[in-house]
Amino acid sequence: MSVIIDRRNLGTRSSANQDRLQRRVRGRVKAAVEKLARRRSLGDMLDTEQPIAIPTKDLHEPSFRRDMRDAAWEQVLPGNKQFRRGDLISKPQGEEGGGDGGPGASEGLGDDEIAIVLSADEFLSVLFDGLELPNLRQTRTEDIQAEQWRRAGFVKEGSPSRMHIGRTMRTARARRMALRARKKHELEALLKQAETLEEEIRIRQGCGEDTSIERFRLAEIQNEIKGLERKIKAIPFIDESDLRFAHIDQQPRPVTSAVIFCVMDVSGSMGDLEKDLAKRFFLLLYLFIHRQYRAVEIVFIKHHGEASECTEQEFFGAKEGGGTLVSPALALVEDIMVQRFPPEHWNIYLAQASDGDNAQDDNRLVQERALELLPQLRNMFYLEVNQDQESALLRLYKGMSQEFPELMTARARHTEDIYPLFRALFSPRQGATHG
Amino acid sequence: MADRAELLFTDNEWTFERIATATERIGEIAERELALDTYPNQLEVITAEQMLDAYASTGLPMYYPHWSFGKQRAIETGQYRRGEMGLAYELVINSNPCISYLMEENTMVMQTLVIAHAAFGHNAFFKNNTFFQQWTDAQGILDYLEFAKTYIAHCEEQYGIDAVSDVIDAAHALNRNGVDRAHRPQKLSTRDEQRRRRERAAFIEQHLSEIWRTVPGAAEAAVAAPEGRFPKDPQENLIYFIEKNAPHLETWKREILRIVRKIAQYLYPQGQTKIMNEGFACFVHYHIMHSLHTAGFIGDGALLEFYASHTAVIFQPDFDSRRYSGINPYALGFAIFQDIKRICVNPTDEDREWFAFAGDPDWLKHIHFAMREFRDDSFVLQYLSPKVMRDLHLFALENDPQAEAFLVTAVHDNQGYQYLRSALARQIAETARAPDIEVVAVNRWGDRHLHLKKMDAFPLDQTEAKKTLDYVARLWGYDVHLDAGDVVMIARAKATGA
Repeated sequence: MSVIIDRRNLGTRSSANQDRLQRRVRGRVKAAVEKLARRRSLGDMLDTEQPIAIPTKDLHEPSFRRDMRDAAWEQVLPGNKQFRRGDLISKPQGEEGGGDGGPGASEGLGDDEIAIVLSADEFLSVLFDGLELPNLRQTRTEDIQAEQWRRAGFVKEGSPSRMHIGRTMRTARARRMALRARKKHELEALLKQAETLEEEIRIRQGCGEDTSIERFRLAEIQNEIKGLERKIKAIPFIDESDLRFAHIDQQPRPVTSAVIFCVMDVSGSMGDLEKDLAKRFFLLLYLFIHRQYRAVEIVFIKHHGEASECTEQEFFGAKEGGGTLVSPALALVEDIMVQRFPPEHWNIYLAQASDGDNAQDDNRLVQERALELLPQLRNMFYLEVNQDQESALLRLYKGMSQEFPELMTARARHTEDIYPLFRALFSPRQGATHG
Repeated sequence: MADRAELLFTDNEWTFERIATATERIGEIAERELALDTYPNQLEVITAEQMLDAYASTGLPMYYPHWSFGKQRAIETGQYRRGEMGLAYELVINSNPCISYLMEENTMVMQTLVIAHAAFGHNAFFKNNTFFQQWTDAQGILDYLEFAKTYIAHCEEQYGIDAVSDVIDAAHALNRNGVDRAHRPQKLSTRDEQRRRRERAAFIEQHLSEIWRTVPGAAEAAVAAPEGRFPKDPQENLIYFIEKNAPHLETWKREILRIVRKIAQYLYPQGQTKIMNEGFACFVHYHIMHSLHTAGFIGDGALLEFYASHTAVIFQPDFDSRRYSGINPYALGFAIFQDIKRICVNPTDEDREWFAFAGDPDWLKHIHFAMREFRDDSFVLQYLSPKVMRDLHLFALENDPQAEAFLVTAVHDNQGYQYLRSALARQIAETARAPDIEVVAVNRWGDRHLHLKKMDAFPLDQTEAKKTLDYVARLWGYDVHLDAGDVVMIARAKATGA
């Protein structure tokens, strides 16, 4: 007896082994991923699967084995051409133990590296391993909820405006069919009886016999038929009990979408390098936040003396001159937030990058606006790029962050700084998590 | 040719119907002409990716997860992608029913060949070879693997993936020293029996550990009789010894050791019968493919395609060839089995001198006897004929580390045949064995160290041995000494931070 089974659609079963392999070399994988994150742009990294070379010596599996290199051995080999017994063959120089190796010579692996391929998702999870959004934890249960009207089946009572025609008609039809069915059967039976009686009367009359009893019975049956027909007709097309109303109910719904406001200074002092730093930071932030929520929106706001919303291209491409005012940008954030992203429905993040070269008297306004904004934000990030000294703006924010831990600040000067800085920002802090 | 049967297929695409009919025809031939007794067959069509999976877990249809299998797969995938390695056409599992894998990329001719080779050749070998019969349990293996996988998953959940991996790492290091060579292992039991036995074992371990008994009276009695050496005789199965006697290994760790040991034991005969197993399967497919052709079930083109794969499989590169990587078990095994048949039906004077059965027309009887009663080394010692030695141009080479040159000790001539044959048999026996390291003593009343001793004459790879000893010490919980002949190595247990 033979059984043939198609197993092709079962897929591979290597993922558990793969997981454990990655676990085993996680230190190396992590180092490799971080190295990549520092050098390459994130967009590139996510496009392709990332092969990471792991030296097999990290994965060595020792066992008791022989070492025949300096031992005496005898070996039987195939393919003799000219040797006779007693011939001497000089040993190959430089190589150990002869060209073919002794029996049981090193059972080592041929290649000294294996490639571990990470999917974009695995790549990110290594990249963001151990990081968390500081404020997410406390707020997740209470605030990331919204009430929403949802359909909740059908009910028998309700306002006429919510009456569901389809459902109502369906119920009515079912009722009519149910009530009618038995009567129809009875009716059919009676009609049949009447027919046979008529037939009999005709035959008997033909033979000249008396048919009075039959006629009486026939009249009776016809009466019954009429009664039944009346009853069938009396079944109402629609009855009050048929009415169905669509029901709606208020249910809490977790808010699973987030919006990031990216605010960047595009005044003359922000060069390509500064923008690149900002861009890397924004991108990492986007990817990181995206892992927490189902959908993430981004709003780009550029500002110099005044602020405007723009596209991504304009955001990173634009180079405009003029002095710098930060407060109009924050005002614009608030406007857009109120209009399009009400905080009770959205998880709102604000990321700001600037060289901190803000006009002196604007800082007071900035403080006012920020104080208004902060309670509505999950987090606010401020990245200061390429300043030799801390600016007044950074100092201001730092001061505020004493009171508002969700305000986070950082300074970056080189491309390589961004990822470590990002890690530092999001590594769980003792005080923050346990306090 | 009116009496010829209709071709099973004309184009080379496989379909499930064709596989079914081919299997039926092959089964008829196998029974009628070769009298093969097989387990029921289960043929599974799989993809190349799945074949790589199966490779990574030594061909078993199910295995507990471990990083080393992931590593193996990464290596093989790499080689496969770079084109350095072709995938085997087939893989077959010693189970009842006997599971054979058919790759979806194979042509119909290849599928036919694989069915003949694996589903009938290997299958019959698994079922009838005494070594397999006694040392493995085809009936219980699938259940046991299922149990092992579930149990280890349960441990991972309870104790963490890393803790479980540590134990498996250590057990794998001793894999080849975890088999009983001399006495027959117990049959794999079904899951329920397994559970009962496990509970019993746990109870015994906790309550009645004979060698670690600390009841005062017992200790005095033992001191009074210091010659009470433990173990009484050296023990070759290191995993078993540790599993049963490690002073305070948690029960789940013992169970994992047991699982690794049981699977190693199940796989052990395969390493001891590679030449025979492959040789017999090749002999079977060679016979069946020709019978199919003679009966008209496959055409000339199919036969040619078969020849191409067959010759590639049994090709033996010369020792000085770049492709040489040892003696090809397919080549040697096939040559010997074919030769047994030849010696029966067409013997020469030389054969009559060498083999008592030469000229006996019942070749099938001798093939079956050879297939059943031997393992690789004894098989070669019994059946390697001068003709096969000549065909393969075998010669023996000796290395004296002090000498300037290798010495040719024998070639394929009248003076050399006997010598070559025993040298090859010895070589096969030695390579199939792990270094023979045995437990000779446990220090019961002192520092509780475990004393191991290398029992064979071959030098040990010391760096490897050191790392392996660390694993042993981790399991044992106390120091481990290894007397390796010229050196004594010691692994400290405290490195584990216990």
